[in-house]
Amino acid sequence: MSSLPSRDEIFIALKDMVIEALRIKPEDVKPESRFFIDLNAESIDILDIRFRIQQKYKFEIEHEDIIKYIGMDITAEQFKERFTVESLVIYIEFRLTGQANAK
Amino acid sequence: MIFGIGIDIVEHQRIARLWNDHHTRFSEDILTEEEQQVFTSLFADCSEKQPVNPKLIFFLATKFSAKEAVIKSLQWPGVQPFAWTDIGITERQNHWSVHLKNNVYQRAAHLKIKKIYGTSARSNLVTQSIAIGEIS
Repeated sequence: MSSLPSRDEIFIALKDMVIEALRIKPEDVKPESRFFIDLNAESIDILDIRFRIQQKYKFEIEHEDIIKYIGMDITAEQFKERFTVESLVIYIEFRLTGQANAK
Repeated sequence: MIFGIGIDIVEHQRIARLWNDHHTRFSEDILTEEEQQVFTSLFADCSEKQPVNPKLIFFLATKFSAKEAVIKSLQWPGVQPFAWTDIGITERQNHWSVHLKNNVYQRAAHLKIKKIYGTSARSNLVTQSIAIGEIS
């Protein structure tokens, strides 16, 4: 039975995806990096990253899933502040844990 | 009377990268069933091994930028979940009309928006779309 990846392992994998999708330098991607503010990501970039996550971890993510996880009924500015690389790592971990528990 | 105007620009190179990396996962994620049928009928012979068809890129770029423009025209005060497939873009001769579902429809209805329409323009490098939401 395969074990779940650690949070560090998920961060490393996600970092590679972000670098590939946004075509930025590795040193620019930190856990606290905010996608829309620090990494200058646009919605099309998040789409790309979402597909890469789905491909690697074999679970589906709807466009609205991430929005719901980060927080609904918050201002756009609050969302941009909360949507960090680390928040996405934690989301992936949450999904993987749920997937493992469901088996 | 105009309620809101939304504008979006998307680079063809970015769309091409998404298509090359993700193919139908990309098109199926952003296109409605009706749009998928049109897309398939136009580009059914575009396989992963062929060089990317520019018209395929233009098609996806128009749909994506138009939908982004529609969302922006609705001027949501915060962040609301929606699916790209909640917005259908039907292209006419020199403009497109919009069909909405779920959260996007509810937002437009809440604003008493009667009609959303727009147009897209394309250069070699980008497609730009503008959407206008009218309340009367």
